Amino acid sequence: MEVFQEVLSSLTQPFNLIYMIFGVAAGMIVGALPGLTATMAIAVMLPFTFSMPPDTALITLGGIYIGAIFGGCIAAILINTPGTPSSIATTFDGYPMTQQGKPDQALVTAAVSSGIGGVIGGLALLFLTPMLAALALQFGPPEFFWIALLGLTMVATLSSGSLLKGLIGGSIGLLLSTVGLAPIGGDSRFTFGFSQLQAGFELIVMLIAFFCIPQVIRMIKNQSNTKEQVKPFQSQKGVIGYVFKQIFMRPFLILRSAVIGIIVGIIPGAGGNVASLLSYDATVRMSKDQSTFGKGDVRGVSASEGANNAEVGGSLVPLLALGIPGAPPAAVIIGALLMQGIQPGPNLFEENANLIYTFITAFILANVVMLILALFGSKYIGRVINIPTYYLAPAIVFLTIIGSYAIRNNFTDVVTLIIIGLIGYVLSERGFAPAPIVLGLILGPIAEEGLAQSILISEGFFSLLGLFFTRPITLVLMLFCILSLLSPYIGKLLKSQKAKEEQEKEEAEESL
Amino acid sequence: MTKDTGSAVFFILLAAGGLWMALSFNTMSAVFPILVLSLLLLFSIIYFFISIMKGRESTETASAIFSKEAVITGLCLLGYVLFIWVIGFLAASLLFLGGMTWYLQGGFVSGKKRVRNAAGSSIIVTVVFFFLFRYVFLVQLPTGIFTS
Amino acid sequence: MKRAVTLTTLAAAVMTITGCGTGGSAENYPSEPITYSIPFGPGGQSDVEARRQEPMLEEILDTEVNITYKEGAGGAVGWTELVSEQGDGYFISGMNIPHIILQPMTQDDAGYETDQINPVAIFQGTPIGLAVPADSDIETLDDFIEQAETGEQMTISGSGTYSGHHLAFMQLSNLKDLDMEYVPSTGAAESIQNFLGGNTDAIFANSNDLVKYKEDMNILAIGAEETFEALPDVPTFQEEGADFTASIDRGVAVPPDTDEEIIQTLEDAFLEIANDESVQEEMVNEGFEPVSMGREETQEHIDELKSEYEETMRELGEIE
Repeated sequence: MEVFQEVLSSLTQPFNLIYMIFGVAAGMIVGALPGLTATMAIAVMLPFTFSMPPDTALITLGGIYIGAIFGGCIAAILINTPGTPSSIATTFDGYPMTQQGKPDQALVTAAVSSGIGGVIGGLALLFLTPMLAALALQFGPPEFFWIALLGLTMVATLSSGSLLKGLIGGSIGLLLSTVGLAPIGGDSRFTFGFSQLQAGFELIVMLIAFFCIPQVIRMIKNQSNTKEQVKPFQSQKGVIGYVFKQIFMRPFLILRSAVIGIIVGIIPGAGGNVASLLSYDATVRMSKDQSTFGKGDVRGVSASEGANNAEVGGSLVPLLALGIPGAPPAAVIIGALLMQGIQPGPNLFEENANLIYTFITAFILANVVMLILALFGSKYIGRVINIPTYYLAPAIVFLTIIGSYAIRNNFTDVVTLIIIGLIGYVLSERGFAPAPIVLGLILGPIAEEGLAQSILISEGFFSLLGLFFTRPITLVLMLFCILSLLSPYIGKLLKSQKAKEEQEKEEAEESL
Repeated sequence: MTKDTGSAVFFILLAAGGLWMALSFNTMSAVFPILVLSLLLLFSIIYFFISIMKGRESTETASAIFSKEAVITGLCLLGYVLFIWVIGFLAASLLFLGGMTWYLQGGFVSGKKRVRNAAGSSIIVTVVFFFLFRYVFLVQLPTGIFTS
Repeated sequence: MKRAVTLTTLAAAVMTITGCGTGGSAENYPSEPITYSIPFGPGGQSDVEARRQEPMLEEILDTEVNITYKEGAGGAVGWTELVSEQGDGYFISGMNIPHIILQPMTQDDAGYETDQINPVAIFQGTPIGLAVPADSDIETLDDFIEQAETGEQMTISGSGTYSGHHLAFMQLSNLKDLDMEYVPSTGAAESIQNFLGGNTDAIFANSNDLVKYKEDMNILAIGAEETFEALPDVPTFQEEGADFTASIDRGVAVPPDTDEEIIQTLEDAFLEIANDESVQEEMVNEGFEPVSMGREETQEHIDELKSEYEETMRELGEIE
């Protein structure tokens, strides 16, 4: 109870609340700018927190983290560019909603889902930390390999149209992920002598290149073609009520997304991007009516955003419990904790209980702050799409260039952005959608490290097979992979079965 | 030859070339790329045969990939990058935003207003974001090859 | 980066607009903001050190210091940038040993050469230690070596290929004909995860991580020159009869052709911070070894290690 009072008194201090609101707002702005990731938002703001008392500093940083992850969806929805890698799946349905003139609906859906997902993630952080931390340690190289494979089975859902083209796209993505120094083995691969390519392609640059540049070219191409144009945004009444109704009609959707987000967050090495993709995939597969996904379905936005904000809470679990960050932004939070003289690890809850509980409670509260800010702001943010193409398209290009440069002050990234962007345009016009390619890019390194480490750990071929097929978690993951691959066919089979039954029924009725 | 067959041939060549390069890597560096490239080769060969079988049925519409607008935009993007390298980020952005906005207004706005819009938008966008990134996020933007 | 930040920012902005940035001359150095480039990502140990130094540097040099990140290829991207920058003292970069020695040695296209790195000072050492799980039968380094000689293959987790950990592994395997396999991860956190999860038999880890997880592991030996202050009970490799040291040293460097006076100014500033008692105390508590090595000493240190590593790598057939 003493802890409780301490937490309460800390959180009711007006200064702490003001800093929290400031942190969330600042995070949202940084997250909305393409190229500035949540990791960077926290790193940039970190120095400002040095002079603050520890509780205020942690409250502010938690707010920035949450704000930045949400902010990423703003650019994803409005201009089809994930502001942070976490909102990649938000583009699938968020941007089509914008094209239909409903950006506010998408933004509000994202805000509500993020808020609820974030709160659930925070509660998990509060109650499950010691328990879930043990789970994270169970993930070794073979498990990571299977996680990556499970992710790759999503190609089936993401490749609209041709599965074969999706598979080719996925392989291209995996191939692109191998450019640069091999993580294990150390050779430099496919660099063609350019030392700049040794570091490999920067993920966020590739995201912008594959999603945004082709989109801008299409935008310009269709400028005078009224049929293809984005419908103007008109603020409608009752959007908030409508969205709440939509979401509460499907409580399991958000709950499932949040659980996926938390689990992915806890596993080090897999971040918000994987969480958002997995959750999107699960939602599509489990829905009865799949025809509207990718064409502006609120459920898609909700699944992606619910998961990536829950992932934030999850990624802090191994950080607080073991000192192992579950995601890159959490790694920066470790730096902040150390600066304040707090050593994350098993003793944290005993030594710094007050501070940690204040942080977690503030974390949950910050999600509510984020929700309120987003609800009021979405009406104004949505107006961006009413800007004529002749202003908007050049400005988007400008932002992508400045953003891709800002990631690591590297001009090569800008050149890569444009060249890959133009290639991406041709590929997408030829039917190779960007989503499977990007999926391969994200999962490639996870798969490679898992595979190579398993080979090194094993002694010979049979021991390797043993590693892949006999560990309990790998078995579960394998089952998921098979289910995931078969589910479209099972779905079809069930449908045809049902149709048959109904037909028989009808026939039976007719014959009566 | 249809466009699909063309794409398939391109991917087959890409995979084969990649495999040839990957053979020179050390074992642990080569495992994963060889796996991926073999998959790519397999998929593109299947794709090749499917496209040949379907080839005659599909009468393809004239290519809209390389329309006039798309080509001009692509060239502008490449020019923008070149200009950043030569004259620096600030000047190149002013030029690109101004030029692009002027070009895209064709058919919508004309006369003096077209020039005014282009100049206004390029100056406002460039200056606001330049200062935000340069002095708040402390990103050292390129200044061109002549000044450094 | 305190309250003064808006004022200096404004001043810098005005200076850029009016084009009256001075710079260039060594006499009034430093008169402009200094860019302190970190060749790793935000939140890493190099970043934490730079952030610790930043306010003190600003005070000593009386100018603004901006930290930027240039991560990729284990630091090579940042060092390639460093050697191509102008030597006017306004661009300095973090420098890690053995990275700057091993990368050009093992890769033809690393983008820079070790000789091009112009060292200013070394301020921190992170000895690398070898550890096994706390409940392991292996008690000492001798036990470990014996097991690797006779028993099953030993797998050792570590961070990075051709990195400090990899080098320590190579030095250990160069002692005798041992059946060991190095299992690299892309980062220290992943490597610890692999080890604590029971996927490898042992781990090469940085001293700060060893301090953090000392309850969960039995540290066999550490690569420091003498007994390591934060872990006084752990013997060094040399004390255990293995004649090598293993450490990741952090320092700072400037581009080639930098004016002597400028380097002197920077060296004085960094050594003053390195000798600050509160900084040293913080480092020890976090599990690091405070070092204050001036320019000449650092250069000698690098040259010495370079020839030593070359020998090891050649014996193991890693280079020709």
